[in-house]
Amino acid sequence: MLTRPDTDALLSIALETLQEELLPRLTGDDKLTGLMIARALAIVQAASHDHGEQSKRETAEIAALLDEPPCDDPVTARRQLAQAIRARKFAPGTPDAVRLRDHLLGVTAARLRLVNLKYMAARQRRAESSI
Amino acid sequence: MSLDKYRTALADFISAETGGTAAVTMGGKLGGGAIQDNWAIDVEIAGGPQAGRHELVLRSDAVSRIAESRSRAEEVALLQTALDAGMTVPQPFALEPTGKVIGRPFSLIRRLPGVAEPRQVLHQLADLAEMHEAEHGDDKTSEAPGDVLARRLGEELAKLHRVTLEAVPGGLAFLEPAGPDLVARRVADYRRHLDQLPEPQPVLEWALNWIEDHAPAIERITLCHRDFRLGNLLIDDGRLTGVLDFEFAGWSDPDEDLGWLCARCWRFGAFAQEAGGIGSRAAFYDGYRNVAGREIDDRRIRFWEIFGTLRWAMIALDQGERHFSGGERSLNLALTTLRALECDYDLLHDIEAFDKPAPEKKHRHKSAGDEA
Repeated sequence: MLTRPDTDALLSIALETLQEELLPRLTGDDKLTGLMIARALAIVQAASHDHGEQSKRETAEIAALLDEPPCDDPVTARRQLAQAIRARKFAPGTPDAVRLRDHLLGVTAARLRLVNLKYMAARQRRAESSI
Repeated sequence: MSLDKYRTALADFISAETGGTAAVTMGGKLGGGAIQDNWAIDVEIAGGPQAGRHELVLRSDAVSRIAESRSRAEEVALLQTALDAGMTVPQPFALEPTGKVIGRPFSLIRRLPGVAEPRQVLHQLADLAEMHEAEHGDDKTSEAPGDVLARRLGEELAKLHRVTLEAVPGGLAFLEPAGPDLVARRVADYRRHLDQLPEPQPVLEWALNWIEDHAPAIERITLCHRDFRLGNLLIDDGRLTGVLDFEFAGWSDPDEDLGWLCARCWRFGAFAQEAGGIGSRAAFYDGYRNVAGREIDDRRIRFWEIFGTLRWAMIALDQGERHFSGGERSLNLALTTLRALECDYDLLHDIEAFDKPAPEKKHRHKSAGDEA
């Protein structure tokens, strides 16, 4: 296991070097590629700070929604939830449907916060027409 | 892939097609093709009915395709139909459907002026808006450049929507028929498609249920572009110079095209400009109404916006699978998958807004996802 630098520190300085030294010198398609690499590294950095907490919360919420014991694997838990939604186990207008939407929004917001925080902020500042 | 090594083969093909002697100059690869590759090529033809210089675009399939996209031959037939309907589209020049010339089927179409890249178009419009404001100030009688373009886009779509199955009998036979069960069939297709994806998508399942329950009655079926938005529109100095990329076109409810342009995912961050990030929804609707001669039901358009958001999520997931399956390794495709999360977020908010009476939209419901 690396301790000095640890993986976080190494990722952090790699990203900083890319953004401050390399990206300003790139142009055209190379600049776009550089920006995509920087974005991918920033997502990895943000996700690495979570330490699986979000997944634990998600699987616990799904277990409560389905009234079943928690499943350790988030993909399996999500699959069970997806099947229950398709089977119409959350009738519109019921408290269960409200809990489901709150869960979906919470999980989606948590994941989107990692990959595109700016989108969420801009989305919340929106102005809509009344046509 | 470089086309340079095919220069002679391309010249021979064009010579045979035109009955002249063609010399080909290869230009660079053009942007904007996630599903197909586009190259600029210039052709000088000596002799024959098409003698002279021709500025063209060569369009070939990318290494891996996605489920919804059409072949080059089908796209050329659609382009010709749009041209006949009076749309501003590039004229098809030649088609090579066998893949024997450059290793993949390709089409050649006329190259038109303008830029398609959304950020460049938005910068262009921002510059024009600044000049317009300096010139006209608060004069409300002078329409802003973004609204002028939005109005023009409405007119253009209305021309395409004049094409009905009756108007092209026997033509476009490769297009799947569509009828009153249009939405139900799409929902069933998407559910089958979700079953094939490696990861479950609870939000999309939730949205599909809502779409199934709120599908409007299908009142008319016309030819639709089904990808009419910035990125597929050539714009020069704020003017539309060409509608591109007919590879998703098909029979559908024309309101689907209007909803697609207005969907938040195609506003490129310019959320307040509800017609594709370009101009106002009112100007876009007006332009459409003036040419189509029919009223627009805003609620139907908003339904199709939600449907479009779901569809873009499905396409984004598909794009990612092109990378994850090993068919086409690409950081861009891998990152495109994450766009589906933005769609999830929009679906959760937009469906709630649709379900609420309009006056309540001003009072935002605070919910779990908005806390942090």
